[in-house]
Order: sequence, then structure tokens, then C-alpha cells
Amino acid sequence: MAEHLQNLGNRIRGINHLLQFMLEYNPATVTILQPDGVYLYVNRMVPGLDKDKMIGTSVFNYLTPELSREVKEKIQHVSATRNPINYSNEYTGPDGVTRFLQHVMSPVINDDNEMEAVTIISTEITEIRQAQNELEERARILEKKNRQLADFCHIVSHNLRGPLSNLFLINEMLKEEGDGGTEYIQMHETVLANLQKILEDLLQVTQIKTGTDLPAEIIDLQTASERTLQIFKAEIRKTGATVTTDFSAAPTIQYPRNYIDSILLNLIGNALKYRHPDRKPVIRLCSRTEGAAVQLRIADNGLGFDVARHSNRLFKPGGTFHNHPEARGFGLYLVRTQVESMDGSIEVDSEEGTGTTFTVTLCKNCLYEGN
Amino acid sequence: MKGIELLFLIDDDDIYRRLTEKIVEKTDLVRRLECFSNGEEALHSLRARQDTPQELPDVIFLDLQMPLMDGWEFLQEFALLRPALGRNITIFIVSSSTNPVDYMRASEMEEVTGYVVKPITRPRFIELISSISMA
Repeated sequence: MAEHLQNLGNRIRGINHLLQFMLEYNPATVTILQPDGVYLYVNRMVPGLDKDKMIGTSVFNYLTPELSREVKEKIQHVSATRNPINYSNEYTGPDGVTRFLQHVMSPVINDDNEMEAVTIISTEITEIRQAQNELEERARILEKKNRQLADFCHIVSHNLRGPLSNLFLINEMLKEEGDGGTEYIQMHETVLANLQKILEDLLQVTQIKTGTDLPAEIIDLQTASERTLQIFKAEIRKTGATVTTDFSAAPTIQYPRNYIDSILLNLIGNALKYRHPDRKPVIRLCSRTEGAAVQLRIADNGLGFDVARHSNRLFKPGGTFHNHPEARGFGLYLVRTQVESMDGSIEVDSEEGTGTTFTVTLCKNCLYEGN
Repeated sequence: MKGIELLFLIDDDDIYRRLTEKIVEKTDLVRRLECFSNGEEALHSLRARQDTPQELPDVIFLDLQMPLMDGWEFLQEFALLRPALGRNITIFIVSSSTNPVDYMRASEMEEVTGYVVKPITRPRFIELISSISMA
């Protein structure tokens, strides 16, 4: 019996020792206060305070009036509700360092259902708070940049397009006058048309919004591609191109119409533009599903290119590598920006002299399965 | 082809106003063209003719970005003035802005009949004016 008690005593001492150890080496500060604020226990103190001298004194001796008021309120709250409470505050210690602390205050209830004490577990969150502040600051900067971009777009739109369209008109009228210099007027016109295209490209890129605020429409891919092919009718006839479509795997999607039109226009346009001189273009369009994602695939038998060498530049603004007079290097950049704003992506596979396949993952979840 | 009597052109771009004058001269679809370089000037003029509807314009070409009173502000004021005007006035926004936000905003205003992106070439001008005089 005595042996048994001794064993039990050893075990309790052992557990007690373990608990002490856990408290001493816990990164959190553990405080136990009487309901009136007198220290019963504290496992550690901030530098500059002697924890042994503090036991038996009131916590309010060490706090500013504001913090004292806050702690009193919390004790009252815990006492009334008998539930733990979370709160955080800033504490400047005697060492002059301000720390952000996150606290959990819980009631200690005795057998007579009275609140004997409160325990407060305080974790320092200064670093987290600083990171949070930094993030907020960065978000502010980003927002500002975004606004600047919108402003830029506005300036381009109003202050550049205006004069350009005037030049266009003047040109029109010069032509109508019909006296001399026609050749120069024609050159002038080519330059103007080029400038205008570049400007439109720029504008389209800056006007891309994030997917959420663009209305997604129900789009039949067959109809959409036929509309685009209509635009290239002359080009297709001239080059003798064959275009096949198969959207049976994913016939209908929900997507911003502008984006689908732009994707089809740019990719079909590229397939025709970069055709191989020795053969008639064969362009295959199809849709596929990859889980919940819908992919659009456009494969051609055109010039192709060295993916390893050019893939970096391919989707960047101004990234052209075919020495083609009509290559302005904006189409793919535009497509990528549009697709990415919908959480999608674009990939390319190509072989020099054989052809190119673009795989556009339109979005993660845009298959339309209604009627 | 039937034309219209009076066209208001509200635009701060001096060159554009002169070019439109030329087109008006050549097409012979508009009897008279009056130009204003901002919304406020045009509004003054409309108010002054409130009691003589025969002197009000049939059509207004309205630019968006202008000093003093821009196109949007003009439209706001125009909406208030409209009931007092004894004439149905067709307004086209004629702007170099291709921003969809501008299109959308314009399409929501019942005072606006259409949104035309500059430049208005001669064929486009003929098309626009005849679309109104047919109606």
C-alpha cells in the first residue's frame, strides 16, 4: 500500500515537473490572474520585469490606463459568460519595445461554480502583424498602379486616337480632291493604318478586366468559329486553306464573348499568316475537356518554329520572330492576358517546318451543360 | 436624299470641327452646322432657343472628353432640359474612346441614340444622317 502511494506520488511529481517544463519553455506567455487582477502565476515576463516580484501584485500596476480598462472589461466578460474570449492588443514593455499580442482569456471555475481566476495565454504576433501591414501596403501600391494603367489607357484613348482619326479624315479628303501625290497619300495611309492597329492593340490590352466583372455569355463554339472564319473568307480562298472543326467534346461554354472572338481571331489569323509556302494550309480546330476545364486546340501545318528558342518571347508584348511584315507581336500577348484573366492558360507546341498547335485552357469551370 | 435642317457639333478638337464642316459642305445633307467647343456653350445655346423650337437642332454630335463641361455632364443637363424643348433631338456620341465602359454607359442613357467612334468619314456621315431623316 505504502509502496503504491509512493509510486503515485512519484508519478504526480513527474507529471507536475513535465507541466512546469512545458510552461517554462512554451513560446507563449501564460498568466493566471485573480478576478481582481492580482498575479497568481506567470511563466515568463517581458524583459525588464521581474516575474518573482510580480506574483501577488496587481497586473494593473504594469499596464497603461487604456490597457487596464481593456483587461478589466475582458475579465468581466469572461466572468459573465463563463466562456473563453479572444482579443489582441499592442503592449509596450519597460524595454521600450512594442509587441503585438494575441490573447485567449479563459475562466477557472471552482466546485462552487465561482470564477476563481482567469488564465491568459498570450502569443506574440508582431511579425505576422508586420507582414500583414506590408501586404496591405503592397496592395495599396498595386491598386495605385492599376489606376495609373487605367489613366494611361484613358490618355491613349482620348489624346492619341483623336489626332490619329483626324489624320485619317484628312487623308480621305485628300484622296477625294484627287489632285497629284496619290502615291504619297497611299503611303501615308499605310502608315496611319499601322499606327491605328498598334493603338487598338494597346488599348485592348489595357482594357482587359479581371474575369469576375466581365459578363460571361453562353457561347456555341461552332457558331463562334464560323463567324471568325467568315472574317478570313478572302484569305482562306486565296490560300486554298482547309479548316476543319470538331467541338463535339465541349460544344457550349460560358465565357466573355469578346475574349472568345479575340482568341479565335488571333489564333486562326496566325495559322493563316504563318502558313508554309510549299503547301496549302490545313487548320484543325477542336475542343476538349480536361476535368472541369475546357480546352480549345488549334493545330496548323504552317511554318512552325523552334519552341525551345522562342517560347519565352512568344506570349510577350512585341514578341515576334517570324520576319513577317504583318507581325506586330500583340495577338498572342492579348490572348494570353485575356485567358489568364479568366484563370486559364495557353500552351504551344511547334516544330520548325511542320506546324504549330496551340492549346488554350479557357478556364477551370466554364462548360455549359444547360439546354 | 432627304437631309436635316440643323446639326450641332459639340467637340473641343478644332481640326475635327473644321473637317466635319468640310464634310457637311460636300454632302449637302445638313442645311446648317453650328459648332461648340464644350458642353456648356451648347447648353447655353439650347436654353436660349427653348421658346423657339424651330431653331433647335435636329441632331447633336457630342464628344465625350471636353473642358468645362464634358459630354456626360452635358447629357445630365440635357435630360433635365429636354421636357422643356419642343423638339425631338437625336444625340450621337462621337468619341475617340473605344473603352467598353463608355459604350455601356452611353447605351444606358435614353437620350443617346448611338455611339460612333471617330473618325466619321463621309460615307459614315451620310449613313448616319440618312438613318435619322428616314425615320
